[in-house]
Amino acid sequence: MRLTFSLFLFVVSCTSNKSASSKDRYEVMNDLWQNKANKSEVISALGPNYQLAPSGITYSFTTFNYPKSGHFFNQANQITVQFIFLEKDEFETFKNKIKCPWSVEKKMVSSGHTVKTIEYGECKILSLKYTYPSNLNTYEIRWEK
Amino acid sequence: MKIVFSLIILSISLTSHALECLWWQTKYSATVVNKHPKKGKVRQHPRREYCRDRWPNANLYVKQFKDDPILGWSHKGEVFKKWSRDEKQLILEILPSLPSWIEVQNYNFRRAKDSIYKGNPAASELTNGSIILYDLFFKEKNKKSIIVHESSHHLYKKVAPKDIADFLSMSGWSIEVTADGKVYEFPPKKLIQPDSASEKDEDFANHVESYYQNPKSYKTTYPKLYDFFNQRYPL
Repeated sequence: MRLTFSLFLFVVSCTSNKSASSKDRYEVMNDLWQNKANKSEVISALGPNYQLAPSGITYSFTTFNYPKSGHFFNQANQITVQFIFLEKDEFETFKNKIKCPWSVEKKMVSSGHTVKTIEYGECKILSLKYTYPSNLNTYEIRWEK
Repeated sequence: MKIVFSLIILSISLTSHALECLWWQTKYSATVVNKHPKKGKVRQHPRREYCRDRWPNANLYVKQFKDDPILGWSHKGEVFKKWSRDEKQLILEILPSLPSWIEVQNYNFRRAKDSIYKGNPAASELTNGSIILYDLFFKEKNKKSIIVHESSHHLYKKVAPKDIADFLSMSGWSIEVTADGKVYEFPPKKLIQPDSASEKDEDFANHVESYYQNPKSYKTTYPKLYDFFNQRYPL
């Protein structure tokens, strides 16, 4: 009986830990967007290691100095724009976790002597857009009205 | 009658065994080392003919020349054309001498008349892995460096985010985030080539070209970037 109870507690503890900590940064950002968060709510959710930017804040990549995500607010201190740069694998997980009917368009774009195809995705329901490739060869995800 | 019949038999035999090589190959005749059958007291040395590439991997690279235009090519006014054999030969001579990190085997080579950009010998189309060589390319002296430059545009696609950030920082690019939540990258004040300002990957390609073309001088001017490239693209 004791053993069964301990096992039950262990399972409960494992499950609750997982649900609390397994959210990826973009999932937290999506929650913040849905809740129309303000600056202090964003900082409370994403941490104090931010840099100030005009009308907002940015968080750097953990291993190098370049903005990983950015969060921008209107005069009423409500979030109006967010972005995050995701690598290819992260983007696949993002699409699996945040279900959204994407409309995707590919355009051949000329940039100097090079011609490349840029992929643009949009999901109006969640006010989401993405561009690939974007800065640093990543997917740029934007929440923007 | 006997003679005529023998001649017919001989000609049939010659036709069926005559080995024809392709233009990028040379016919060789060699002794078959493992088979030295004895005919009476004399050991025979049968010979066999075979085709060998005139330039290393020519048989592979020759498949990478494409005569058809790129669909949806956005440089309006540029005209694609067919490769001549001489032009192909020139490229087949160059390709084996390029470093392996160029990944020559990943590209297809197209021919076009003139670039819409004056003085431009080549361009790249990243989606289909194409390198486009214009008429001007064949007049240039530094053909290898031009191919290295174009290949670098394709290589850039595979560079990891951290490595791009490191390159941008070492090359002198600066980053600015604006109130509308956009991240802008501004080119260095001192450019390696004037067109480096147009795009990061153009700057990257210019650096790789310079590093390849004159490593000693590049190392003196850009010691950190030299180490950066040398770790990834050894010469």
